[in-house]
Amino acid sequence: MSDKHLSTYFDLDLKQLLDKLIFMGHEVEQQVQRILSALNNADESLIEEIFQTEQRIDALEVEIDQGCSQLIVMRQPVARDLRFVLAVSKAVAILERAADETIRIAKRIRHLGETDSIDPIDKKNIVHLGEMSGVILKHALDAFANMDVKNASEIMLEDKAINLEFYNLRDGFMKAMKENPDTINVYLDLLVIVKALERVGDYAKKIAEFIVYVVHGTDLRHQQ
Amino acid sequence: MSKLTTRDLNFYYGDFHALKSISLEIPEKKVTAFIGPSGCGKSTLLRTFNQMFALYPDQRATGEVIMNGVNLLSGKQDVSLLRAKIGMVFQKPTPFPMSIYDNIAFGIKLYEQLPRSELDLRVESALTRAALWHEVKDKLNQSGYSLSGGQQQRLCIARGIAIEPEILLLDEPCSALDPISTTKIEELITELKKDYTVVIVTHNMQQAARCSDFTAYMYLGELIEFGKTQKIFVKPDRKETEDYITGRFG
Repeated sequence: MSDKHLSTYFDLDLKQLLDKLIFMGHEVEQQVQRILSALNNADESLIEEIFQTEQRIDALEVEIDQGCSQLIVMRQPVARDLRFVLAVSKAVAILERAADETIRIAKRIRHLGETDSIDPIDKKNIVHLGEMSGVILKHALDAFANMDVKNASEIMLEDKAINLEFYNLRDGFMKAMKENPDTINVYLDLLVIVKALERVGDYAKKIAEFIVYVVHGTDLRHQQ
Repeated sequence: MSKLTTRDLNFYYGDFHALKSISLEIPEKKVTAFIGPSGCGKSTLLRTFNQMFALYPDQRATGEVIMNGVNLLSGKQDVSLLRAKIGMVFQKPTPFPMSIYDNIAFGIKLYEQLPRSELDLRVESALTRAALWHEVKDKLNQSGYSLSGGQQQRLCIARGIAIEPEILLLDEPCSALDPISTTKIEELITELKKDYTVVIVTHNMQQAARCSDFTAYMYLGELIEFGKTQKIFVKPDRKETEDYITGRFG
């Protein structure tokens, strides 16, 4: 049997919903990239751009959610279609939260002022963690676009690697604070930044879980 | 607990094999919906339960349809008594050409001799359970045809339950009704399952999802999947079921 609906408009509605979600996800990915550049350059105009993009992302969240409501009303989706619409509705909320994490980081970067106050090795490690978070987010969105369950499983492993990286950085920061209490102000900001980057990885993992839910109907939330 | 069980049920219209080895258990005091494309055999299956096919000489069923431990296909059952136990309501409302009161009383009189006062109570009770009493209590002597389509259908349901059947079969009971009447019938179905086992054939999948506890998907005379409605409409086991209910059927 065909994977397409008898109604081509139904297929079109579902595709539009997916396209918008992926577009929103791409915006969040770019926010992560801007954060990493801002960490390297302390560029205030970049920080400003992050705040402005956040408003676009918020508007996209509302628009996509409205699209989900409209599709439910018009098409009364069931089974895989219903799971897909529910997953999109939840994924937009997840992406919006991931975007909020980049705002949290942008505020911390502003607070840090001249990022030269960050130890170069710490900065390099934070940027590395951020790159991992950006990559996992891209992988999650690609897998969602293709409903690729195999890649979804790999994303869950990627998140474990990010968590490990985060714990290493956190332990290093705590050690540095103990050794030199004058650095506490800086490291508290850095802790917020690495935690936010780690959360972006968590959100990517949640998107991957939705893929499994859509394809197999299995809810993986809150499971080890 | 199963109210009605079919085992290896086959049905033939002459040479045409319309039902192929259907085995399923209809749970007691639940609503079971049969869904599937036209010609899949869902109405045929419904009609084997009360032996409607017995009216036609070239139609025959093999296998078992078991209710209360008795195989209804054994030929030992009195068909008239069987239909008192298994009531049926059709797609198009079919009131008798008589008053609203007599539409209900007619069936009761066939099976029971009751004094008028008791008959009145039975008529009122049936119309109340069919959510029609308040609309017709002041015009019981008017013709059943004077009612709207939705009211006529509820009258037919009242007629069906007046003789206190064990099972109520509904063959697309809302397909000729407007949305308000449909909603009333659907509410009624939910109420009826407190006392009866209800089996409904419907082309409206949202209706099956709204009203039923269990759903059977049929295709080309075969039972493809049977399970709890919530599961069938969220994550059916069979791809064929998912393709049909999501509109990918082609």
